[in-house]
Amino acid sequence: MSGIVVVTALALAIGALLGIASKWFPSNTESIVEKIDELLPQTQCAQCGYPGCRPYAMAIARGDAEINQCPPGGEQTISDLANLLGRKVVALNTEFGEQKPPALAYIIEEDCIGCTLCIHACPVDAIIGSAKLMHTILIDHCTGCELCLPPCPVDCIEMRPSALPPASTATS
Amino acid sequence: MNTRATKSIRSYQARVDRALRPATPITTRELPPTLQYRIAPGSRHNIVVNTDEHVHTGQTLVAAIADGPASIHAGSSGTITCKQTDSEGHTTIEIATDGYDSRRFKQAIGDKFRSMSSVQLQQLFHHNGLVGLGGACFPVAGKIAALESKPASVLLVNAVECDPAILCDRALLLEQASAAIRGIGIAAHACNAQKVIIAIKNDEPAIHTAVQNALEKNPVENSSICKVAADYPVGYERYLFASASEIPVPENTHPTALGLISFNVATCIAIAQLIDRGEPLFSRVTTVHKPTTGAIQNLHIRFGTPLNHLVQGSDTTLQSVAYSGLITENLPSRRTATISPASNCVILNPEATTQNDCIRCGLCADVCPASLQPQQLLTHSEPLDAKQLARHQLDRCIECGCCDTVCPSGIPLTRTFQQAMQAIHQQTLQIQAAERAKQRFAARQNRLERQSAESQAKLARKQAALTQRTKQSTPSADPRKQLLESALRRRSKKPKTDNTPPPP
Repeated sequence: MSGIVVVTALALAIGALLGIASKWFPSNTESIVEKIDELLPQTQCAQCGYPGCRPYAMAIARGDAEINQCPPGGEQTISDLANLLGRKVVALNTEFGEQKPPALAYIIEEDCIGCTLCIHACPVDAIIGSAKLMHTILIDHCTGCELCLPPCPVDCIEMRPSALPPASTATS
Repeated sequence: MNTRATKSIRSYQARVDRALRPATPITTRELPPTLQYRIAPGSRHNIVVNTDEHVHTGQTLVAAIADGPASIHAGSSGTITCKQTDSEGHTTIEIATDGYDSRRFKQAIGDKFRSMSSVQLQQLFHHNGLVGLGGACFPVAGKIAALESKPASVLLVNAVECDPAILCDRALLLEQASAAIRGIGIAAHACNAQKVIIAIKNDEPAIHTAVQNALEKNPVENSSICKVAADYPVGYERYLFASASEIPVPENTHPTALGLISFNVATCIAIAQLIDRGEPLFSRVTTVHKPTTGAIQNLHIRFGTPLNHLVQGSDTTLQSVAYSGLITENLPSRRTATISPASNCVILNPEATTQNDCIRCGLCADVCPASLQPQQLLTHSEPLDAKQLARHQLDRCIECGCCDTVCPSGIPLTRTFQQAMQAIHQQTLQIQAAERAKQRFAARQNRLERQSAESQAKLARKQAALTQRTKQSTPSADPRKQLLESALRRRSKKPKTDNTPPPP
């Protein structure tokens, strides 16, 4: 009998202590956001409904967003996030988009009228140009987010498949 | 390397050698109808020809970039077609050859090279497409520049093609030893080399005589011939320095950092041709094996020749191709199947081998000249585990293929490692790109926040200034009104005068 009392008292005391501790020392959300952000593909495409990868990471950390809202990351990102956060692997929510092969934006320079609208839309400042002058995309910095496509009034931006150069091989 | 494995490779070599011993002279083949040059994606190339343009043999197609790749030159006269980037981002330049092979080279420099500085020669090499022909295709100028203007203590001439299937350097030395010695002299001048070592195999007396005769006719200062044991893979730069110059090169240090530089014999001949004939690099000698017919040829071929052209006229169909010899095996993807500066050997239709599971016998670890654990690397290559592969130092693999030769299960280890290295390379590039995008996104967010804060602050300042002004002007509404009021006040103070004119 006394055993049950002691164990119950202990459980209650420890529970209360943990409750107080969680109030006093909130978990380090900054580092969790950082870790989630690390796993996201950094396309900054906003397809998840948040204005970039970091805002989406913050939403996941807060518990506002699901882990299956990132189409460019696809299954790999979902399984990585599930691993990190100890959740179940779920299928990609296709409401937010489908996973596509990697591509980069190209401006058809003859057709560009120099309206600067795409420059303002680019989340990573990968478009250069000036009012009434031709614009071009710095392909080394383009993430292929497609955010520059809708604002273009003359539809002179197209997506082209991208490839990373193959590793060089050396032999004797 | 343990004795058992060395024996295994030796017997392998002997088997091949018996078939290849008869000297194979260098022959030329008629020009193919088209030459294709595939330019890798990225901003580091500068194509200087346009579609429908006519070019002469040796004309620049892709200009060199400082500290970047060397230039690429037309292998034949003909008409250019530039194809747009394909799905992998490569641009293809195609020359429809006209059959005339009309050459237009720059003026030959000849013996005037002695008055040129190392930097001037590097420029010359770089703009004439000189790359290493030993298999790694590293730009010659870049290699000399890596010496950082120190004089090279040793210039090593690599004439040790250790792969039994590669015979092109052997044929070059037998037929063009004087050009090779000439090129070695120029290379020694370009790197200010204090000592020149010409490394040849110890079981090739004919080559030794040819080189010695050429050296007597046209001596190169401080040069010596060094015979090294023909054990595979002694031709690998790092190991050759250790055996020929007795200077060990530590792993993780590049030989150029120690003032050691090496050139392949074929590269030296290319240097001599550039200086004496003004000829840029657009062709090479390649050993071509056709195992089905047993034919072995040393062909002088232009870069960009499609491999299909080599099987024409015989019954062979191009099913599979191995580059770079029997032991070192690089499989090109079918679309890139053209002769490149790296193709020192092409084997059409190599025999297929049956493959079993790894039994962890450890033979591969015994033979690995880089002291790696290939069986461990294999486990982590499928599925790919980049962290473990890095821990087991996959980056130190020299792709010599020794492990393939001894593997009793016939596992194509080297090919697996090549694929793993490519996959890891892509992953690294992706991670780097993601990191860049992250930083640029954060920088843009900061800038937008700062700009909006600045514009709000400006608005607030303006509003404050405006309210201040209205407050001040409330008592005296308008400066003109004030003037009017004061004038009226002055007038009312004045004594009243009669307005009527005085009586006459």
